[in-house]
Amino acid sequence: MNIGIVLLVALLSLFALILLVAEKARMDEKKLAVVATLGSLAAIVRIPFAVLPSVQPSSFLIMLSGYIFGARAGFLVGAITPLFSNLFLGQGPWTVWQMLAWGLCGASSGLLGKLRKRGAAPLLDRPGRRWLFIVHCTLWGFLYGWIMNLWIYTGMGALANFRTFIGLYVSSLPFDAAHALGNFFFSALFAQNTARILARYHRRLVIARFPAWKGGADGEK
Amino acid sequence: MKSEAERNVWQIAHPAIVVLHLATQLLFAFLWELHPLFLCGQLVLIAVWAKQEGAFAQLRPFFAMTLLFGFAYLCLNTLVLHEGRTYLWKGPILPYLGRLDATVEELSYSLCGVIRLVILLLVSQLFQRLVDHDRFFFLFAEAAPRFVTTALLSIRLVPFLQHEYRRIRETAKLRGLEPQRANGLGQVRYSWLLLRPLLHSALEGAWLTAETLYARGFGSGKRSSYQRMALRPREKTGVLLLLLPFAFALYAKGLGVGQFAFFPLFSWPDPLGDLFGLGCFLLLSIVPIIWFRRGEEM
Repeated sequence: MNIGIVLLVALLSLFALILLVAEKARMDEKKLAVVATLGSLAAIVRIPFAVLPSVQPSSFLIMLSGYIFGARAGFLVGAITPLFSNLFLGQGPWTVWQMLAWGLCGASSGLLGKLRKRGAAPLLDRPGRRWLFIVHCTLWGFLYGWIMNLWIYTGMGALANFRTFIGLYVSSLPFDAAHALGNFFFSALFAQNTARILARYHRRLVIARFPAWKGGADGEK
Repeated sequence: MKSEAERNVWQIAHPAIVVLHLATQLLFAFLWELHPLFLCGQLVLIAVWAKQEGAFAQLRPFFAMTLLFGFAYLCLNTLVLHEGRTYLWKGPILPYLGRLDATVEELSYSLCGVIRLVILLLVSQLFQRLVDHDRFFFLFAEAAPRFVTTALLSIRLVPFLQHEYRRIRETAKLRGLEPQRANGLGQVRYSWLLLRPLLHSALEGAWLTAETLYARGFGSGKRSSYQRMALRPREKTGVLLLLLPFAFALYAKGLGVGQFAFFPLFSWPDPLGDLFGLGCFLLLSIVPIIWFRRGEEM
């Protein structure tokens, strides 16, 4: 069987599986509304930057959403962003791949956010934590491109082989580097302040979900 | 959601049928592999269809980008492939990639790839133009209710965010903040200045949306009923008509129609047969489109 088709089936199954997990997760109306808002914002900021190839402020917003609100929210924000922004920029077979790539990007940031000490605020005020996030954002600039290359590779049909694979990845390097560089700048300049804003709403979300009259306040200590 | 008068004939129809029409065209672009004649024929068919539907105006902004990407794809594919024999240029030998070269065969093969890319772009634009996105998302509401609600909420939030952005900009202007002569970094700082209140405002708006969802009973249990869109008899016939070009394509392929080899040298065993096959195929492909349009206009 063609390696391209195997890859396509494997990645689409992975996407469907993660979407199913996110769908089955308990998500109240507040988190859903916040995810929709962040997805909408991430999609909107992508449109004016479409003229600069591969510079994607959406990636930064998706990763920050995942970092603050958790892996599931990050995945959903990532999956919604291309679905919606491509209504303006053009839908196609690439949309599903972008949904997967950005979804994974948001989910991985959620896992990174879990590395902090239990109970600690999800802020990026400490230099170590901030730099870890910046490096994570920069790396995802490349990873996103590498995932997206796979959809071109799967479309190569009979000519998909190791040489074309290497050629494809070498040629995409400047675009991936531009994405990574963009992510680096966006996260270095804006991550700390934006994280403060998002963390404030995250706190409200948590407090709203465990009202004191239900005895949930203890759970927050 | 658009009003009845604003929608075109396709947006009134069942969205699954419209998507099926477009998906069939996508499938055909891959079914004939990179056969130049069939790809050109299909490109003409889709271009005429897109023109009829008025999708060309929307296409203009993406055309330059597609040309750029297409040119990059053309150059890369030609350089990386090592299949043809009619050499135009022989370049240096690189590790892993081998010798970089350009042959007429590789160039033609890559050009066909670009034509297929343009077909994908046109189908994508037709999707934008012909599918009512709200009704399309509703198709998945029962299977993935949370995802669909989130996605539709996202779409709804755009006018709100645009309004908020204008308001914030006006306020910044009133405060004398409008960096007309600012350099790149100054513009970025100004954008951040606007983005921050926009983010606050959007998240406050999310809170109101959540309250509305709560008031409408979201999360109080599984939704008992979903709006179902039934297929009309004419649409069912349209699906059967869509099978015609597909069945013909499979039958013709079995007979050996549409054979073309780029490598090592061009080989086209039956050009006349292919031309006839293309004629039949295009005719059969047009029938479901015309059937659908006529039926909706009546």
